[in-house]
Amino acid sequence: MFRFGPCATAAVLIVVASARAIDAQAGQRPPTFNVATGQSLYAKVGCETCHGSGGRGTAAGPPIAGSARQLPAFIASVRKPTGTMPPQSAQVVSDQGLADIHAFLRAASVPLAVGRVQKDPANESAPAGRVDNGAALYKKVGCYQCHANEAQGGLSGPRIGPDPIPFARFVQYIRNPTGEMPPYTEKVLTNQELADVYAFLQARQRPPAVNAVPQLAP
Amino acid sequence: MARSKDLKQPARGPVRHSLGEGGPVRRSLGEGGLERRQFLQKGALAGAALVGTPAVAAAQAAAPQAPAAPPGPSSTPIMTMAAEATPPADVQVLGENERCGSDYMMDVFKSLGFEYFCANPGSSFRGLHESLINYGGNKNPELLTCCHEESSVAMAHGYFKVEGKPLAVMAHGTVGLQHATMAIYNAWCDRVPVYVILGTHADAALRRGAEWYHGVQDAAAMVRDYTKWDDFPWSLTHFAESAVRAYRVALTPPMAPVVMVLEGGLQEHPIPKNEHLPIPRLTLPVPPQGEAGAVEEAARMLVAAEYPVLVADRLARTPNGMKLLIELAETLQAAVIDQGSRMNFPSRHPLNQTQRARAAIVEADAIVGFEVVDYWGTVNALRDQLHRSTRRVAKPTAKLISITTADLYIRSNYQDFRRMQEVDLAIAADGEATMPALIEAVKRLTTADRRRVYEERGTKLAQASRVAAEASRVAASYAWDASPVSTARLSAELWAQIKNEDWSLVSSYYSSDMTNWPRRLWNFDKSYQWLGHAGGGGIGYGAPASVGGALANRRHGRFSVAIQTDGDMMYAPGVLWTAAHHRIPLLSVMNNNRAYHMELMHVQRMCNARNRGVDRGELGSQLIDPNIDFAKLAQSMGVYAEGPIANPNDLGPALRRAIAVVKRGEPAVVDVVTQAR
Repeated sequence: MFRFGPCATAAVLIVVASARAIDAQAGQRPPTFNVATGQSLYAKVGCETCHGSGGRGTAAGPPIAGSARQLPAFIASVRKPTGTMPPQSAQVVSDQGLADIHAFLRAASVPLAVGRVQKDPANESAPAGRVDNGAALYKKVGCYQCHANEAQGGLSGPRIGPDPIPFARFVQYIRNPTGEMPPYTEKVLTNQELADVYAFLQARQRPPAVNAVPQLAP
Repeated sequence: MARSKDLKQPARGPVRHSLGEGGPVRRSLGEGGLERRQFLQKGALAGAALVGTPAVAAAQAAAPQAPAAPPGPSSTPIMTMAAEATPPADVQVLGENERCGSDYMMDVFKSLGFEYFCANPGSSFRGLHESLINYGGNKNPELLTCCHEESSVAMAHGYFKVEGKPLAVMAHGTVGLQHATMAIYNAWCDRVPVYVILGTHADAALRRGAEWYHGVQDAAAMVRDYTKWDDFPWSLTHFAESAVRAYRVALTPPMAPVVMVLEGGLQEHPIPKNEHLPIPRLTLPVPPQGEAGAVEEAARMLVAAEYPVLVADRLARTPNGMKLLIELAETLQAAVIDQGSRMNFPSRHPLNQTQRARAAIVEADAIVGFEVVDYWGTVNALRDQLHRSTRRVAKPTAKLISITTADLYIRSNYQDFRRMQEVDLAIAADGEATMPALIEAVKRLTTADRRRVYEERGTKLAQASRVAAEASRVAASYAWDASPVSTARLSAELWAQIKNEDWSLVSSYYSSDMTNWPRRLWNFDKSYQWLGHAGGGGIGYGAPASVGGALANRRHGRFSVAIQTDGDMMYAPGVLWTAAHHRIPLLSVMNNNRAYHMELMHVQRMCNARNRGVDRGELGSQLIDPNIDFAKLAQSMGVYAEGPIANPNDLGPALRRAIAVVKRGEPAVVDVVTQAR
């Protein structure tokens, strides 16, 4: 069994500090932005659901961490998205809130973009998991009911494999989901068991190229 | 009043039937009894006026009177060979110059244009049954033999959604209606007219043994909360007026089921052939159109909006409904969300934003709901956790407009009317009927500047629609080779086989969900290609409704297909026999996930919330051990069937074989073992 503890907290603080440094150099954000608030809002507003932990993308949404997009353009893309993303009005998240999220996303991108400093806890690799036990658990605790047998998603839940969100966020969301998903406590599913499920999700087969499937021709 | 007195007065003494020379059958009720059947033929008021007149007294005196039989057990004749050889005193058959009340009833029903009557046979309507098959020639209407009254009503439900005409359903007033209630409730919630005919024997003095179980004082009471109108006619004249009225009431928006209770004696008793009983003329009311000023105001809001969204649910009553919505949407270049209770909008139209409905609602600054059942749920969200919470998803400043006949009619007990949503403009009118005036007003108010804004908006929406469609194709490719078969692959394989046919998806249980696979992958662009859903969420709708829809499609030569769930099929699988018996061509592809998965998810949600472990969440919701062999079930009723198919690569060939059978004019079932949802 593993746990998140002080190490994870420290990593967040370092990321915050990095973001402040970058933003100070760039001089493009209001001085009052707050990465921690941005991180909180990122989860609360629901960005994480599609764009994954730290904005690194999932099956449902592209990566947005480290985007070169400037704040005004970022705000505009959230207010009036062009794709399937739901727009977020100022009543849902203010411009200040979006500035905080923008800062958080920039901060979250640092470890990947620069390849140094501390790791984002959200990007920590998952502990070793057993795919076979994960498969059994995935069925036993009912993940398949919403996310379908191969984690491809269904009517009631999004696709969660084969590219699941980073493990730390995976655990965080399962323990305290912000959407419709029912919560799973450690009593029901231990962290090691979650690691097994995570291993199962990672092991899901990639699909064929859609244009190579005649039945899926428009 | 004479009528009341007559009905309440218990008949004493034995009942005998006799036949005068070519004259009407009369029933003697013994001492002092007024011959009630004869009395009823001409209408209660007319009868009341005549009671006690010399003419009536003379008629009564002239009627043959049966001798009183000895009381008690000795009244039962002892059947000996000699007794059997003795001819009866009266030949109890209909005279040459007679017909029956139910014959006249059939004349009235024919005048209403019914093409089919669905029924599981029942003695309380045996008179009407006989009139239908003999007097009426079993044609327009034709009798369809059903194995369950719920199937009868659901067949009528599905039939209407294709044909736009109601079917009639005959049932016992007690045991038949009790079987039918769930399907009636579905039809009510879906605002679909079903014409329910119930039989009962009201006269306690003349009931056979079983008729006591089938007798009821107020049969329609059981369903009065979810039917629009009912009546229990006391005379044939009364019947005719109520029969036509019931049809008119049922077909006037908001449409809904109606009930006619037909008394057994009124059906069965002879009447003179030459007795003039008029058939009232049917004139359907014009559906109510929105008030002109209100429509103008709605048009102003739409024209001024930067991001108007048109939400349609039960909008398209007729094929013209879809054409009108297309015209309005294209005029405005507005986003359209088709919530799917009817076939409102082509699935691949560039302005169709159904697959990104929430995003469109969030962005909207003006939302028009056309016959939207759940307006609150359209602009708000409810989070179903241990402590439920709600939030508005539409902008607080968004202008909300509703156009619906729901504002014209509401009942109290059953809560299908959904949560009240505050709106800026509520037009109590039929959505489709109001559409032409709204389109005209929008066109008139649109300036060149606004037209440029519209065009920009339309371009963006088309792009968003393309992205959503491509995302659906990619999503469907995941778990492509998985076994059990993914629901996406089932839909894709089916689409590949039928897309060149003139097809109609007559039932898909998950049709209440806007994001189900057929609607994501198939090209719906005709009014009959999508029939919506059960309405009330009652399982057991899919199988019979799909047979009803296929029945309507048969005359048009369309290929009917249903995605049939296992739990739904198990409610009343006898409808497969009905399809086979009546040669109703229908391809039923089983989405057999071997569970009531929606309920399974609810139970698991409770397990999670109570933190007691979720590993038993499947108990009580699965359909395994033993697995149900739906192919054998169908084959036992004369239906071509294959399966169970768990290998996705076997699905295409099986579908092709089954399609060949359906094209021969027969039903076929392909049982596919699928993933959960």
